[in-house]
Amino acid sequence: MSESLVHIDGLKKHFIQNSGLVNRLLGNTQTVRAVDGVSFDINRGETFGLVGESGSGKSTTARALVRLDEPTEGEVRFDGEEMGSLSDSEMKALRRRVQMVFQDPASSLNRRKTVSQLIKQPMKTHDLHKGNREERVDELLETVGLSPEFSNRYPHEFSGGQQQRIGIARALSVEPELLVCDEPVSALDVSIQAQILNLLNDLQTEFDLTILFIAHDLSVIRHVCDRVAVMYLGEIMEIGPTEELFANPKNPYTMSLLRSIPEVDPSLEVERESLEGEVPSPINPPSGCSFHTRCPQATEECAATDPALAAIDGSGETHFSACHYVSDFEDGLGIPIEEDREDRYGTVTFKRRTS
Amino acid sequence: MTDTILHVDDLTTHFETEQGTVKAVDGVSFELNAGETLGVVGESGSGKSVTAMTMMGLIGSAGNVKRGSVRFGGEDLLEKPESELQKIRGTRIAMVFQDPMTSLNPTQTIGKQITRVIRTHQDHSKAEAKAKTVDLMEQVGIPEAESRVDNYPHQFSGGMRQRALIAMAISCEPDVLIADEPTTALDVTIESQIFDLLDDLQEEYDMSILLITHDLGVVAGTCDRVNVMYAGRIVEKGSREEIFTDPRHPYTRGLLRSIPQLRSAATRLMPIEGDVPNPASLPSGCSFNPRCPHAEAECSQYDPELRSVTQSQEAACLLAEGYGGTPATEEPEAAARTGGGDR
Repeated sequence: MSESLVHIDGLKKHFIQNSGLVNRLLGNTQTVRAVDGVSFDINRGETFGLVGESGSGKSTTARALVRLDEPTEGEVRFDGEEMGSLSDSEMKALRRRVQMVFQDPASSLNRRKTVSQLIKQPMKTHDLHKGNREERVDELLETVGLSPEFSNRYPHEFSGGQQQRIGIARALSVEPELLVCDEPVSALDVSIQAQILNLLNDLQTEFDLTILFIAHDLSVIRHVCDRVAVMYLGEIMEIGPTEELFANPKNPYTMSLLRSIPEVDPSLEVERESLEGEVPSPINPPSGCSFHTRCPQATEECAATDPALAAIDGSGETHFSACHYVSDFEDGLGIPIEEDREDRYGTVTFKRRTS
Repeated sequence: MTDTILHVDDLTTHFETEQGTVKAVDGVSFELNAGETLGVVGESGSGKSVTAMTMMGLIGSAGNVKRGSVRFGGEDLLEKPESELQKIRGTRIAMVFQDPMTSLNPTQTIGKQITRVIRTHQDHSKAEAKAKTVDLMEQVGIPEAESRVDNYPHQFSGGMRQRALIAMAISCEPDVLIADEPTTALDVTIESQIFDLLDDLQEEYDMSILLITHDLGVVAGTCDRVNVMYAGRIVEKGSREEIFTDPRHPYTRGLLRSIPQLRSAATRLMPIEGDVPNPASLPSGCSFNPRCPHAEAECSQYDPELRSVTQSQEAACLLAEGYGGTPATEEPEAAARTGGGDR
């Protein structure tokens, strides 16, 4: 059942800063370790979440996966094939199978092209649906909840939510197997976010999609992902089935993240706990565990040795955490699910009273 | 106990655009009480920032402040000449914006910029002002303030830049702090640090805070009272508890239901259908009616004003529980003209 579609092993992506000739001659270059040894699998048909603060390396991981950036080290296998070893034509064939949805829909759509042209472009590139591309555009627009009448309009004539729908239709036009969504709702208005999340959910079922979902918002991750990996400074701190990880987190960073979320309910008397300090620079990451400079539980050992990502006892090799003190954390340190939460505002009726 | 420090009445700001008149703020009234945090929550284009800018006289020539008053200390800020307003801004009312990078001058050190704010509004020697700058930076939690006064903005992280701006804002111990999306550009862990800081400062200086945000989670955690805005109007007002446990306006309720909640397991979310309306051509009647699941025929004809629905809560919805004085006896069209203002 859980057949692996993407296999990432020891992925590293380093960027060189000050890479001009003079700086190189003087030895002034600096290495930014954006992704520093990341391994995980994405199973066919699941939604896999990558969550972390800015600079944690989640987007860089995704870019390496779709080969927008060449990894510095490590392998990325898609459906068994190592991407780095593919020829150009094999790579092109593979690109059809992996499509991306970006954060800012306005800047990811060419504003000089009509919706129809935008959605047709990937079909042309991959030489698909010759002869019936018009019908295909109409069909795709309907699939994402837009009227086919709009196909001759330009992106600026649409709202942010509609633009994101166009971006999704474009990604779907070549029938991909993997959809990489990089913060697909964070640029949208609150009332629109739920529409797009529901749409992605429907499309996944309809087209049997595998989704890599990148977000900084843990509430969104909990709603949409089957499994999730928490990243910090280019490394995975914890990875596991979403519910397990949210209810029983086994890494102090995950716990701190969960407690820093502002919850939409003043009656919850949870004190938002502030994590001290800031994310250190990836140019000069801390020794040992990268989180030890901010971790409330850190000891000398944490500064000395970097803990490996290890399976939690009893999780059946599904839940992993990188912390020396993982066995100190009992279950239930996370945020529980409350059953009737959705019905909270369900009882009010709006009726005109006759006076 | 509830001293009103700032009284905004019927604030109306329009912008003339190629597409027509944008009623960015359309008859907004509220009070800010001493020592409280009042949240103004709404989506993009709801008018929350324009409300704050109008209050501070920062609208400029693009906008047209049609009417309204902002009473502060017995005077109307909108009537004041720019020179006097400038004195009030930065001494008695201070402002913190969303993007700390664009609020800072990239070519000057952080210390110099804070010192200049101090010397503009207070009578201090250079040395005194510099000492005060370091004090303030320490107070807002900038580590190694003594050496970091000489840093430039790009050498600060986003969170530290926002702290520097807060240091400027509190340098003259203002009565009112207007914070416009102060943490939207920051990570969650930094966001909660900034709100802890604002909380401490509010207590220390006895400030009132007007917090403008799109994030209901932030409102739930920090505000005493809440104004919910939609399409240039306040559609609901109430205490934090009222808004979050018993929302009376369908928009407030829809927003709360649409947010993915951390503690809910539902995979299907309940969005508000449709789109935020184009501010240059708002729907007739209640602006929310095309998206409202409860809308009835009269909702597209009659634009409801904000009225009490409980002793302390107000909503602008004909169908809201407790909404009194129904216009049922009036002709809908006549009602639209009398009750709906100039919309």
